[in-house]
Amino acid sequence: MTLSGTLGRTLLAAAALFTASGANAQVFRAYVSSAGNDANPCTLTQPCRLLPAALAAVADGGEIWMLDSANYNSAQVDITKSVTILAVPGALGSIVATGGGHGISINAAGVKVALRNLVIVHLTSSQYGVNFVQGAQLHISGCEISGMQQRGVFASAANSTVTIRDSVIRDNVLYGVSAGAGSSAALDRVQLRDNGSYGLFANGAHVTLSNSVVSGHSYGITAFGNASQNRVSIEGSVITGNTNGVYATASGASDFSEVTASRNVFSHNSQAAVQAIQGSGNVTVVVGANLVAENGVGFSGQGGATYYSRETNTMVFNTNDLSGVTLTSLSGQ
Amino acid sequence: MKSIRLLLALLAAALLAPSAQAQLFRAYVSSAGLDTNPCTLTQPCRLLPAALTAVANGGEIWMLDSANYNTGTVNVTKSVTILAVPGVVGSVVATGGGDGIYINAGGISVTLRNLVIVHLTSSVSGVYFVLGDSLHIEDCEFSNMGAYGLLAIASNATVTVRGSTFRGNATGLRLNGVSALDRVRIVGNTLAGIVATDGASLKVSDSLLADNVYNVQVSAQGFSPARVAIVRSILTGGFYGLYTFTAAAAGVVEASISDSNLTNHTTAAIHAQNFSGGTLNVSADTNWIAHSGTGFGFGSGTPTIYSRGNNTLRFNGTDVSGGSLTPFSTQ
Repeated sequence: MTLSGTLGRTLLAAAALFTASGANAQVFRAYVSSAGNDANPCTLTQPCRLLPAALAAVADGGEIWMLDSANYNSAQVDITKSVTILAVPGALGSIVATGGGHGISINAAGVKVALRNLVIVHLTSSQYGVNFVQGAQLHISGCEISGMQQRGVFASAANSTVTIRDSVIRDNVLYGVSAGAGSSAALDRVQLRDNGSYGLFANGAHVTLSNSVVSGHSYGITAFGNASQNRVSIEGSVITGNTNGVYATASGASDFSEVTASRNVFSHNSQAAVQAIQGSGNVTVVVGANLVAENGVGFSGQGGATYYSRETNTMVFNTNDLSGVTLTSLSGQ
Repeated sequence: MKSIRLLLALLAAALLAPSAQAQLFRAYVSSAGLDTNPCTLTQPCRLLPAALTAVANGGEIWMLDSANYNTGTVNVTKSVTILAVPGVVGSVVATGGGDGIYINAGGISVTLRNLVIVHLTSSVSGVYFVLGDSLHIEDCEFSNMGAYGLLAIASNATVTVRGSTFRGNATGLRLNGVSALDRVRIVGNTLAGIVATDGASLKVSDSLLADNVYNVQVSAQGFSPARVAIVRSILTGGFYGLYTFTAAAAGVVEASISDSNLTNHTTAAIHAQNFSGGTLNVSADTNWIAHSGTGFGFGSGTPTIYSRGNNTLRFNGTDVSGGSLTPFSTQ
């Protein structure tokens, strides 16, 4: 079989596309590996070693592949272009947050960043695993983010979309995931575990949490209405072993926190499954089709917080099912 | 006994055929392959077109290591399974203003597994299914396409998608046949997550649709009805959750949504509109609908939205706008 002209041209095109060797040409895919060298052009055959070199080499909108199990940074990784960073399946792509910085910081208007199959861990001194300061979209899937001295993921980019799926965010000291400043976040099939203070923290955000587990926090899911307005929906999740499962506040007159909780299991939350603390604003919680068992209090409120119930909640074995609140029946439509 | 020996001989011939002409049941590609090779395990090819030539109808192509496996649109005209072996990324690019994979032959059945199909410079669709009997997509990722992640217009065909991601495309999926989507993540597509049109018979289950301008859009122009059922899914962000409309008097749309959670839609969680007459029925059962401009929105042309009366609506600008829900009972 001889190389046909078409095939030959195809292969040449392939070579041009994927093995661009000029140091200046940006590649669509940049590669890093444990045997790589940052003086390389970050191609498949000549991969780089660390993410900063790959980020310099990759074109806007391109991808970085981690080819084998290794750590791929030595200091905070700053992302200022649209990029997907992934470890190939079966490899453990590690990033450390160290030197008092973040693991990854994303900070450029309009960028879309996807992180897939990465493990981001604290080393000696850290702030956040992923700090999303500015950009349009952040998508995290199949990642584990643990041990940060402050937050696992901090999404403060205004008017941004954040999705987190199939990921574990655990043992971060203060916050698992915090979302603020008008960000819109959807978490699906996420484990938030043993983040010291807050599992999921919304401060001025729209947040949907579904099919997830939230356990081992002082405040499992918080809608923190302090100069902010929060919209939080919790669906089909297990919220267990927190001091407070859900904690919603509204301090100032223009603040509100609106929470819906449907088809969840709340169990073994030592103070309350849901705690609603209304200051000068409005806290409203709608609960339906939840199993609420073995908590200190099932639904607790202070300061006139409003609870609506679809009257299909099952409440058993709580020290008190209700405290400081009456449930207003909400009709179906 | 004779027939078993014959079978074994045939099997050996099919699996081990070394000549360049004989077609293989399995063709292999790898980053170290060469398209002048016979696409065997020990002598793999480099790119998909060579492997597609080498593989027999009904066979398989295995991507053996992490690499990109095409340079232009990959034309599939035979039944084949294309997969990346577990543990590797099997990449296909849609580039040069074309599609990533173009499936176009009557009666064929194509399966794509563990592939990553991405936009490079200029693209139309990740996978364009024009003609064929069935297309099955498992654990694939489609991102940043100029038009569609998956465009499936083959008539009388079946499409299934399981455990895959459609992200950052103009439209995630456009479907007009029998389709089932299970555990699919459709996020950040700038126009729509799913577009179902005339002829669609679509089921979506256990899926996440987030921040697509129209998370699910169902429409009919009168050629044939469009039917969609959505169960146990999360629809959040964007202008509309489930947007249904007919565009002609003969248009028929039937959409049902149950056990789902719809939030944060700027305009409406569920919207129904008969632009030029037509028949439009939506049914809603046990959904939670919150934080949207409107919960149930009725547009022109008196569409019908049936409700079991068990949907929970709160924190919407208006729960029901422009019409009234029609009750229906259990049986």
